[in-house]
Amino acid sequence: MEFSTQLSLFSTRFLGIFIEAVSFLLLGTIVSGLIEVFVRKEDIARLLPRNPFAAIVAGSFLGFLFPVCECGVVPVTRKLYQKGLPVAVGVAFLLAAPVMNPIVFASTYAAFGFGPILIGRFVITCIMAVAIGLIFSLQRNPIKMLHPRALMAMAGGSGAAAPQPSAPRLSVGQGIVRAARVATDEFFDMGRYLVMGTALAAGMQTFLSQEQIRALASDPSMSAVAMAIMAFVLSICSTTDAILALSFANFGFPSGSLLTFLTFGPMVDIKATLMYLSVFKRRVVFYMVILPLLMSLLFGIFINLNVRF
Amino acid sequence: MAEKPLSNVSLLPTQRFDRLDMGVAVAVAALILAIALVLLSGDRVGISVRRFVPQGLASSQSVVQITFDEALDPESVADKLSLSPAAEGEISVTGNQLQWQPAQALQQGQTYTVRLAEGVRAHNGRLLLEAHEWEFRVRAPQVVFMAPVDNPIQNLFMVDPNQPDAQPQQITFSEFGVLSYDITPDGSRIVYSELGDQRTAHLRLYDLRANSTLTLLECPTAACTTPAWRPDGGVVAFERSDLNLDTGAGPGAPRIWLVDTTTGIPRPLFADSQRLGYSPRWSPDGRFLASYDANVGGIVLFDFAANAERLIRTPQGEVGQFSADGRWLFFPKIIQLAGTTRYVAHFVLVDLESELMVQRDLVPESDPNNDVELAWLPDSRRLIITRRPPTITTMQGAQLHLIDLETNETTPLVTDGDYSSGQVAVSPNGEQLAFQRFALAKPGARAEIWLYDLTTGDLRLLANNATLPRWLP
Repeated sequence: MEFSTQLSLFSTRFLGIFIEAVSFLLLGTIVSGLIEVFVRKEDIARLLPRNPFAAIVAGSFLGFLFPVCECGVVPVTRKLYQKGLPVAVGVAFLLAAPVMNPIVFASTYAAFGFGPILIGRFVITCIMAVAIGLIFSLQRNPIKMLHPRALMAMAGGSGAAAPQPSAPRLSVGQGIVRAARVATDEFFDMGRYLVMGTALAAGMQTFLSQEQIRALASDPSMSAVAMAIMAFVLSICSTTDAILALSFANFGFPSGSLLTFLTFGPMVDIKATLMYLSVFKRRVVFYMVILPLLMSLLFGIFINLNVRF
Repeated sequence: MAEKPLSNVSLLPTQRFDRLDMGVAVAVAALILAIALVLLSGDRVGISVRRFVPQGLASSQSVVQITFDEALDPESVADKLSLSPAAEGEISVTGNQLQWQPAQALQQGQTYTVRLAEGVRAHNGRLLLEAHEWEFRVRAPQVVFMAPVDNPIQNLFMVDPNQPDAQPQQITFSEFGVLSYDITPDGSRIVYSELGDQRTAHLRLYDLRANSTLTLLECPTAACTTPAWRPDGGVVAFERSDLNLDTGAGPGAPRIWLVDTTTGIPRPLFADSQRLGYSPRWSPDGRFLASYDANVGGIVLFDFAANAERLIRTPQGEVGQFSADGRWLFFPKIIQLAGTTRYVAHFVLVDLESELMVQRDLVPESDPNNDVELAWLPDSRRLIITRRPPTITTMQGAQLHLIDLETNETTPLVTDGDYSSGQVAVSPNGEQLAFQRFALAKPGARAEIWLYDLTTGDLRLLANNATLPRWLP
């Protein structure tokens, strides 16, 4: 393929991913702005269960309260951290929310109906998010996990960060103006990562052969690996990835591999990984990639080799 | 040299890995181990069968189709499929589908058991781990028809013509009615055009093997009618008339469209949207599609193998049928009888095997009979002709005759001046005719379906208040 054609393809794909994702980022930053203004650290402390395990489970279901995809979930999580959310609970929310929300439920139902794929997607995502959240609960010091910029305004949810006095509640009008300001700042802050991630994803889609990845469809173990790579590279928003997964099903990808795609992709893809770097330290981001990868592969391969739908 | 004060120096070694690092390391190791164990324990599912047809009742021409969830290695299936009682047939593999085509017609009334042994292998090496067994019973050919005629909403019914007491079985339950239909040559599926709201019409598929109905093509802004199966069952040709619902201009002229029955993807026959066409008819080998184009004033014969078209000029606007051997196609022509003011219709046969598509009159131009309809017998040598004799007026009934192309002999079959006959459908073995009869002298009469046996001459009523019979092999 000629370079000019590739460049044109790259632009199309870049715009395709960016336009799809940026609306969700905007939604996420608006939610983030509203949290900043209307949610106080005392609210978080009061609403979250005291038991760490129960708190992590609750965190993985927070997506039903804040229905955002993987682009929008990062600013929301960052803001929740600044409001004192424990890091492990935030990780569970960050990983689960892109799937565990009503929009994704509806899109997955539309693509696959009520059946093993829909149930498997939600159950596996919940298990993975809770398990990874529990692993992250081993470290209670947020300074060792969060990026210094994410810590800057953090109020002492964990006890290790500097405590901040509670701000008085604003009137609705003042609150909305302030929320809009915060959302704008968040949008441009996170937008940089989205642009870089989108460019990388579009580049990999353009310059790497997807046909070779699809050729692995028939092998029960390699197809799961292929689906994980596709999920990472394609960086499709979780609200629409079920439709793409349906087309992969028509290519002959087995159900376990589709579940790998549908669970790993919303947790980790190129653009989300770059956005994670705005919240977490590099080492932690690496953990947030490797753990979902291995878990989703385990579930996918196990289902392919042992479960008949 | 001064020593550093001890109080400023930590005696403990720096902790490079914290609890999170250790936890992640353990989790990663455990996950890798678990993946390895899952891989080592091997494939406990193998490939699986997604679909088997036919099940229950099947036609004597039924093809056994087994669909797997993965593409098959053709070499692994040769000795894995068997029928009991034994029947000769040919096994083929296409992608994830295993197919068995009977060499001869299966025995009517016989129950066949299909056995598929374990060990069928997919391309990726996965095996079928369990043997499978299915049964189907071969039914006699049926007659399908539309009824009731006295109701604006008609549906499809099916009846066994060889069981005099058999009651017709309704096979479609359309709210707005069925407009037209066609049956696959193997008797496995019926495609029909179903009326929707705002005069739209959609294409539905009734699969007799699975006793299920699905939508082949939704036409929300058009009327999709007159479906015709390509003989291999892979494509349906149909007429599509845009209803112009947005402009209110009324229905447009029909175009010929095709729809792939596997993917459901439709496309026009001609890229030029101005090309008109109606009455699609497939040649028996599926190579040609004939349709009438009023703009060019003739039958357009589209050759899919050569991606070319040929034209048979005729102003009559009707497309006949291909003979079973694919050599002949007929169409009507109107002639004035010499020395009279009377006009009659005759049929012309087109020899498609000849380079110049030579035309041959079925009867001499001097023949005073008025020919109405024509239907081929399976031997491609004889035809059933529906004609009005010169001794009666054109308002009176058409009668059935047999005409032999080699001898040019015409034999009357069903001739009763009180009735008008038509819409002849010849049974797959060519021994029976199902046709529509209408009692001309009976007040309030409705169309009926009758059965005529060519070998015995027996004639009996099959269904009342019914029309458009076709044979289901």
